[in-house]
Amino acid sequence: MEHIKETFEVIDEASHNKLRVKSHSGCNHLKAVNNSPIFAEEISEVTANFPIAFLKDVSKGTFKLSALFGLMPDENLFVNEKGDWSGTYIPVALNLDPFGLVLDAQSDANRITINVNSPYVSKTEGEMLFVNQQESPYLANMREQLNTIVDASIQTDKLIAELVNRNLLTEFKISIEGLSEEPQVIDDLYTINTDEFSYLSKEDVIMFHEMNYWGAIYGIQQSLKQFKKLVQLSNAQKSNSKIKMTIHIDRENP
Amino acid sequence: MFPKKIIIAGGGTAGWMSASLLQHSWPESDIVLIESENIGTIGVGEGSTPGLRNFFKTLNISEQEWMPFCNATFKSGIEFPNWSVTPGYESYFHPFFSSLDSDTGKLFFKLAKEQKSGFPNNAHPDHFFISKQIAYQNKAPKSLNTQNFRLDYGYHFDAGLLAIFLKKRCLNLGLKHISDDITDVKMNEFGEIKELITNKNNAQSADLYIDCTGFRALIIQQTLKSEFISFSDNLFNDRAVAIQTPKTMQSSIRASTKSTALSNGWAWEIPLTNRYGNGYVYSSSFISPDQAEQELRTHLNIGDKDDVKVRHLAMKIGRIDKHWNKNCLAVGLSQGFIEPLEATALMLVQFTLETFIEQYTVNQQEQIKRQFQYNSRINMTFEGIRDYIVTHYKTNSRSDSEYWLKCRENNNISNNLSALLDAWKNPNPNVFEDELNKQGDSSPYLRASWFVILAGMGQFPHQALVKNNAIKHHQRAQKHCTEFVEKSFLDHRQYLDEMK
Repeated sequence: MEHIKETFEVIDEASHNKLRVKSHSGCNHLKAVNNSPIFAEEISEVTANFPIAFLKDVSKGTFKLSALFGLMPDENLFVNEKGDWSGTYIPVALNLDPFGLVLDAQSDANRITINVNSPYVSKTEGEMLFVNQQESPYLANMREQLNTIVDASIQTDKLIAELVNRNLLTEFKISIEGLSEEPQVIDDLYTINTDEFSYLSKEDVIMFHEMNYWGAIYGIQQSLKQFKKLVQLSNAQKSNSKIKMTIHIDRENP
Repeated sequence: MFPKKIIIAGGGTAGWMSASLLQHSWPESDIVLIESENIGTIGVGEGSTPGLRNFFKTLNISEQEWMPFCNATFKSGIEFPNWSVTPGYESYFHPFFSSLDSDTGKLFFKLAKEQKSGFPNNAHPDHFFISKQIAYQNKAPKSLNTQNFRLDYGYHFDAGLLAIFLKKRCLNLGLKHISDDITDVKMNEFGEIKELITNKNNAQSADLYIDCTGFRALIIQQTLKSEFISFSDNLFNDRAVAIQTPKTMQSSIRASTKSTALSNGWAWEIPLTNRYGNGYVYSSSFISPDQAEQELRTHLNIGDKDDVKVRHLAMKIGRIDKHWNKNCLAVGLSQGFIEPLEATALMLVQFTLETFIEQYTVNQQEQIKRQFQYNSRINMTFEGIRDYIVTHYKTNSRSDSEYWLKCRENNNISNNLSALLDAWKNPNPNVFEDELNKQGDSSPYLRASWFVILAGMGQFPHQALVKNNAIKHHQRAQKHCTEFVEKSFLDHRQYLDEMK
């Protein structure tokens, strides 16, 4: 699965003083957004709507916990023609888009970043980032919102690290029939490796309980059922093709 | 259009390969080869690249005809142990490629690009290529089924015997041969070669002279003064010591040259049907010939045995600038030499000859233009090979000797190589391939070979070298290659035995 090409740059007046950010009302801009990173805190809301997969976060050398909105790249099955969102929940990161945060190692402070490739970034429409070379009220407000989710972000990264270190991730592929002669395979998706549960130490099992990781783990596992919903939505929206899908999870002992 | 009379000065592999190709391409040409009984050939040089297969095909020589005569075996690639000390990357195999590698190869590129951007994949090249398994399983690159696929492979052989084989064939086809020493080379007033003075025979003159006199370069360098450009500023090895070791006739054969890094250089191990060829290529600025011989003996586990033949050689590493100069073409060691780390010497001989045959013209004016273009092309090829060899040294991670440190820290590298190595370190995944495309023809090595050497040497950021158990693509690729080779390819020893 190809990730959206994101280019986050630390915001500074010199490089970004002409940039504006379009408002989030209406979701037309999300029509081609196929997935979104999510925080561990929101897993239960996400599981009720979308499949969750770990996607490779190449430059960080680890995985990103993500909600999937479509099967094919650039496909979002939850935005209708009117631009309305048809799920019951929108992941927090989509509201924050195009902003992000990065920890500046030197000053140990969080710096606000902007994804210059985001469909929300424009030179002509929307809220200005800088007014008279100063940070705009809009930007100041975004900064505050971002700071409140810093902790959520740290906790999510911690969960992912704990899972990776204990071999608790494994690859899965989805094989889609009906789009072309050969089944199309989407791979490089990762989910919970349930085979490894029996190797966890008692201490780890308790620690997972104390950190609420078991809820996250089961939520992620359960969310795989939402792939059926994606197939259903796809078939409903595309009158000229009926697809079927199988999931294959990589197991040590198949 | 062809030269009416050609003299080839010197025998050896270069001389007889020249005779074979020129005789084949210009059958109307009167060709004479003059070789000395007193001057030996370099005597080693036993591995090839896949191009040599075309050489034999062109001449209509079947493998059955030449391989048993030359104690030859197949070669699917080169193994490089101990150049890197990065855990998990202590050895890698540079395979010859195949159309069968298409899917696993694509996966290798994807994983390597992610890994060099920081993701802990396992893009060690050994998992992804058929040729690695062919060598590892002691198979020949010969398949059971008659499936339609392309599989590159080369050979190991006794170079001395190959020269004899080619000589017999050339003489049978009417090539003239003079056994004599060349004592002098005379030029005319235009600075061209007028004639060669020999010891026992008359002066010999021709329209075209091929200089295969080895490092002496009697005609091209000593007479025509083609400038010699040394490569010693980034290739430090200038000597070798060679020792042959026995092999039992029943033992299995691995279709691979092994090039093991040692303290101040590297040792080759080449399997023939009847013996191994071994040699230590080293730098005399760092160890002496005696020390090198001792180290090789230890490496070969033969201690102080004195019934082994030991040959010490000095090598002149570099190239001339004018390979086709006036009415002379230099082929082989006379035109230059790069240490045999990627077995490129005969590839250069073949390329020099084939390109020359294609470009040759009797029209004097046109010839000057073509000579210039030709020499640029040959020089570019030399430099392209040089860059790839230098990469082995630049990416080494040993710290056990001053030699390896100097190799790694050496900044006398070409602009092309510098740009490539920088591009590999760039976290943007496409920059490296863009740079390769930009450099286009300057490297005789394709994208796959560049990815193999950089990934094989463990050139990944620190964070990308940790183990990630969720990533299993490499295991699946290896399983596919292993199983495919197990059921599709024939045993190497058995195939060669049946060839005789």
